Amino acid sequence: MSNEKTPTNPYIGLPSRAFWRSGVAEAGLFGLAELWKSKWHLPSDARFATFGSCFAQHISRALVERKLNWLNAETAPPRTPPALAAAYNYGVFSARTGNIYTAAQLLTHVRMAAGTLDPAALEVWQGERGHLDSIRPVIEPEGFADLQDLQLSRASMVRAFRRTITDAEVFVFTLGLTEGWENIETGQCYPLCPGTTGGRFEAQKHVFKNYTYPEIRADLDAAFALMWEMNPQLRILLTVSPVPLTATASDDHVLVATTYSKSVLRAVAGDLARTEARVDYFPSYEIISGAPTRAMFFEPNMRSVAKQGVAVVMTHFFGGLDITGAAERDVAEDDETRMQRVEVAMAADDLICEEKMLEKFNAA
Amino acid sequence: MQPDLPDVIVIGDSHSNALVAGCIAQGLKVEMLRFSGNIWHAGAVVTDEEHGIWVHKNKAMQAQIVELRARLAGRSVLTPEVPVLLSAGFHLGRFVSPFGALGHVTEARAFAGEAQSQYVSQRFASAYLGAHRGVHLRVIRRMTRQTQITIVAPPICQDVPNVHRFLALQKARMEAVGLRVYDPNADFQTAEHCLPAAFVAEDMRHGNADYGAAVIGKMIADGLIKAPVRVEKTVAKAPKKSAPKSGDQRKSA
Repeated sequence: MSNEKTPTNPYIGLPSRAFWRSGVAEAGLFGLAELWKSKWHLPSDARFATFGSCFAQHISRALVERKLNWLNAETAPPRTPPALAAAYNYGVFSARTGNIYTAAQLLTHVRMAAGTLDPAALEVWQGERGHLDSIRPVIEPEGFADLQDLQLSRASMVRAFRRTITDAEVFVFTLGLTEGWENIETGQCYPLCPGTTGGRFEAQKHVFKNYTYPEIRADLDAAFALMWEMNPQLRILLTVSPVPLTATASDDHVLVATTYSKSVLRAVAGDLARTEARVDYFPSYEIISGAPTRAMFFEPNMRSVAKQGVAVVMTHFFGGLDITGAAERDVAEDDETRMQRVEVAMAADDLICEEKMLEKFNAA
Repeated sequence: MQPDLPDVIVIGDSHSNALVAGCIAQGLKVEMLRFSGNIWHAGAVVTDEEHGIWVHKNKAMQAQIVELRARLAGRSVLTPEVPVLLSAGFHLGRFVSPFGALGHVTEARAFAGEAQSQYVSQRFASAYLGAHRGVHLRVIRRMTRQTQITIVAPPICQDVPNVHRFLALQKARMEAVGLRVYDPNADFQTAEHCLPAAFVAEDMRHGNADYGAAVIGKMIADGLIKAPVRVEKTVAKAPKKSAPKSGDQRKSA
C-alpha cells in the first residue's frame, strides 16, 4: 500500500551523473566526474598495447609518462638518437604499424599476425626514392632500399604486432575513420588512398569505401575473434578519435561526413562494449567533442586537439582505470638492465685490452 | 741529416697489433700509435695541425704522440713522407653489441633464425651508423689531407650477422667520401663468414700475427703498401710466434 503514495520510476534515485544539469551543466568541464570506470580490475603490472588513428599516439605517450607498463614490442635499437627513432616511427604505437584508421585495416593486421594472411601478398609501391609498404606507406622517411628489405621489415612488424596481442593485458584501439580505399581485385584495404602519399591511383581498381555499421562491426568481430584465439584473456579497450576528417571522398560536406563517421564508430564501439565483457569503451571522443568543452580543445584549425585537451582526456582515463590488482609477472630482466649488463661486459673487454698494453714494458 | 723514417705508421685501435706484427713479418719498418677502441669510440681523437692527431684529455696517449714525433725528428705523426695504415672508424665491438642487445638484426638469416629478433631496415641501419660513426668519418677525412691513409677494416673473427652489415655499410660510407679502404675479410673470410681459426687470436676478437702477415702481404701484393726495398723477397706467411714488442718496433727493418 505504501507504494501507492510514493511515486516511483526508473529515474528516481539515479546518481547525479545521470542528469545533464548536475552531471554536466553545473559540474562544468573541469568538474565532470565518473565519466568512465573501467570494467576490469587489472594487475598493477598490466601491459597496455596501443594502436589506431593519430589520437591513439597520445595514449601511448601518456602511459609512458605515467610509468605504466606500455608494451613496446618493436623498439628502436638501444642508443638510437630520439630524432632518428621518431623519423622511423619507433615508439609511436606498440608495433610499427603506422596509423590504423579503420576496422578493415585492423582486421588485415590481425589476420597477418594470426597467420591467415600472408604479409608478402600485400602490395608494394614504388616510390621516388625507394619501395613503399602499402599498408604503412610513410613508416620510413624514404621508403625501403629494396623489396627484400621491405618484406623483412613488414614481417618484423607482424611478429611484433602478434606479440602485442599475446603479451598484453589490455589492447587499446582508437577507431578513427569509416572512410577508406580498397583494391577491388584483391580486397586489400589501404590506410591512405593510393596516389596521395605513394602508389598510383587507378580509378578502375581503387574503390572508395565508406564502411557502414554492419561492415565495421563484422570486421571488428572477426578481428577480436582471432585475437582471442591468440590470447583468450585479452581485454580490448575501444576509443573513438575526436579528430575530424581532413578530407572526405563521400560527396558530403566534410563536417557532415565527420559527424557520420564518428557517430557510426561510436555506436559500434558502444554496442561491442555493452555485449562483451572483454571489451570496454573509453569516452575520449565525448570529452573533446562534447558540448561542455565548447570546442575549446581544438586548435585554431578546428581539427587538431590541443595538449590541454589531451591532458583532460588522460586524467579521466587514469581516473577510471583500476590497476590495483597484485602484480602477475615475475620480475624479468628489463631492457634497461640488459643494456647495463652489455655495458659492463664491454667495459670489461676494454679493461682486458688496456691491460694488454702493459706488455710493451716487458723486456723479456 | 735525413732521419731514418719508418716505411709505414700504423695508427688505430686494438686491431693495430696484428697489422704491426704483419709489417714486421714483411720486413717493413713500422711505428705504431695505438689507442683503445674506447677512445676512438668516444670521439676523443681529433686532427691537429702541429701533431697530426691529438687525443683530448688523455695525457698517456698525448705522450705517445709526442714520443713518436720525437722519433720522426719533430715531424707530425701524419707527415706526408710516411703512409699510414689506419685501424679506426669501425670499432664495431663497441657498436654492434649495444645495437643487438635487445634482438635487433640487420640480416635476413638472423631474422629467420631467431624468433624474438626484430629486423631493422637498411636505411635505418645506415642512419644509425651515421649517428654514431659520422664524427669518425669526418676526422679520418681531415687526416687524409695530411698524408696517404689506407683504412684497414677490422677482421671478423666470429660470424655475427650485424657485424657483417655494419662493416659493409661503414666501408661503403668511407668509400663514398673518397677514403681508401682495404677489407681483409673479403680476401680471407671462409665459407663460415669469418676468418679461418688459424688467423684468430686467443681472445676470439682480434686477428693474430699470422693474420697480420697475410694482410700486409696481400696489401703489398695489391700495391696498397710499397714493398720494402731492404728485403729481397716478401714472406707469404709470418712465423707463428710473432707477437711484437712495441719497444722493438722502430728497430725492425
